[in-house]
Amino acid sequence: MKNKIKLACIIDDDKIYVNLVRKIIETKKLCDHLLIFKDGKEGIDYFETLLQNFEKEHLPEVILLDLNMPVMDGWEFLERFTKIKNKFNNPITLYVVSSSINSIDIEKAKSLSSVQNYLIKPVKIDELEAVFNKTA
Amino acid sequence: MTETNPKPHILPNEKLEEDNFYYRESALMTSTGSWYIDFENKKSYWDDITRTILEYPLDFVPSLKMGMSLYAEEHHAFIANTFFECALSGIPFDTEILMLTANKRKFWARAIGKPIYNDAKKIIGVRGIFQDIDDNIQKEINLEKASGIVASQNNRLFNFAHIVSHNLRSHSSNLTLIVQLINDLDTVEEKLELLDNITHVSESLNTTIEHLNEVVSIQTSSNQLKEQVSFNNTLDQVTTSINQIILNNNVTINSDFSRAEFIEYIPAYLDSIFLNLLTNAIKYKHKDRDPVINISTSLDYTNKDRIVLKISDNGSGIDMDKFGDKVFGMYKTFHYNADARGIGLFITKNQIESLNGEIQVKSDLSSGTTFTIKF
Repeated sequence: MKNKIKLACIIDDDKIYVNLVRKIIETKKLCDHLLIFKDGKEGIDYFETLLQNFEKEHLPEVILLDLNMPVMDGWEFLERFTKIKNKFNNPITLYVVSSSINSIDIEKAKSLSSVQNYLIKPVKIDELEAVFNKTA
Repeated sequence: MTETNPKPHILPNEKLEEDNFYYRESALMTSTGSWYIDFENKKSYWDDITRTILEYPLDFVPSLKMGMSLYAEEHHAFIANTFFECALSGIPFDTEILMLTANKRKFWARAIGKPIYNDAKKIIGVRGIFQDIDDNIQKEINLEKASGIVASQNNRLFNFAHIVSHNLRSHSSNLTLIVQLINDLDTVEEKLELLDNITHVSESLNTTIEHLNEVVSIQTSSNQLKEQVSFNNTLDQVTTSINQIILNNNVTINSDFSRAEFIEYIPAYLDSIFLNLLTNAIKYKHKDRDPVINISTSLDYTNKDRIVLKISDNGSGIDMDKFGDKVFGMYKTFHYNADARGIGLFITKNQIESLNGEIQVKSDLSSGTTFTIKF
């Protein structure tokens, strides 16, 4: 593998899902480190703070974002993230990963420029591999 | 069309009486009364059926001045406009309107009127009928109500289906993910480690199904018998059951049920509504002050038959701009409280709506939250 991803980020309130994806990432050695936030608020707080004290090694290359979360959902995260994304001067690839099969959600997410693609849960192991290899 | 059998100019007396009999019968059977307003002599004429419909004695002599008093106040502007268009511009009318009888009873009538001209083409009066169509309109109104209930039930059912599919999907997709991993991992030890996850999924699946059961039971038990319930007793029972929480959080509860002490309701629902709204107010208390909860009843401003319950707190409030439409959604929590499970308000709203009531929320991040329930 040419350039393995160093840091990836999961924003999701489903602990079981997060544990399983972590397990897949560890087993398949898809990246070195993993950041986990349990809702959009924790996620956006991290990125907004990082913008103030920028350190490149703390910026994830991939974000896997859930939509349905308490406190701040994925949509609001996307709205705020899109505003600051370009200030980082480094590419960040964001995938929406949701169990919603509602076509309105899917179309809306795909239409956003900051969203690379929409993955429907359950994600498949090879889908995850593809996400990390494509980005790397 | 040509008339092959021209009408005789003078009818025999017998024929006149017979005609009169049939006209009267059809007027009676259709509850249709005639009237005439004569502008030249400034007089008003009613037939007996008009008097009967309007509950006036048969010897009653109507006058022009009565005008508006025959109609329900909410339709005054409308009838004035309709009548003047007919009297001044010659526009006939055929309309449905709320009328008022001599006994001040409101009823729906069909009112038809047309201008009467003299030879000089000047309007000299208005002639018309009133027909009592109250039964039909009441049926229509009931039908509309029933259709409203069906629509709201359908809406709840649709939401429920959406919730079921979404909530169950997240568990089933976790199971799928576990199976994928089990197949993918090499060693038995690693595979066994995943069993723990299956335990977690099955636990959450059970919880979800319990919640869905709670929701379904609302729909099926809303036809339970209503009873006369006392607001005060309900509050007492609920505060007793959560007494420990009230003491631990130093909660003050003020209540005033003097304007409506009792309600016909399903007792278990009123318990549940009080319990959810009270625990909610305590859970989301403001960090700098002890919770104060004010509960009161009143009668609806526009409909005195409807009881209104208000529960307000001085808690941390809900950001209504952000969450306004989601407050009553299932699994929507707005705070970091560990025991927030996002089902209480959803259940409360469903219970209230299943008995044709409504619940509204007003909130402010500095002063707290007020829930208003119209039963």
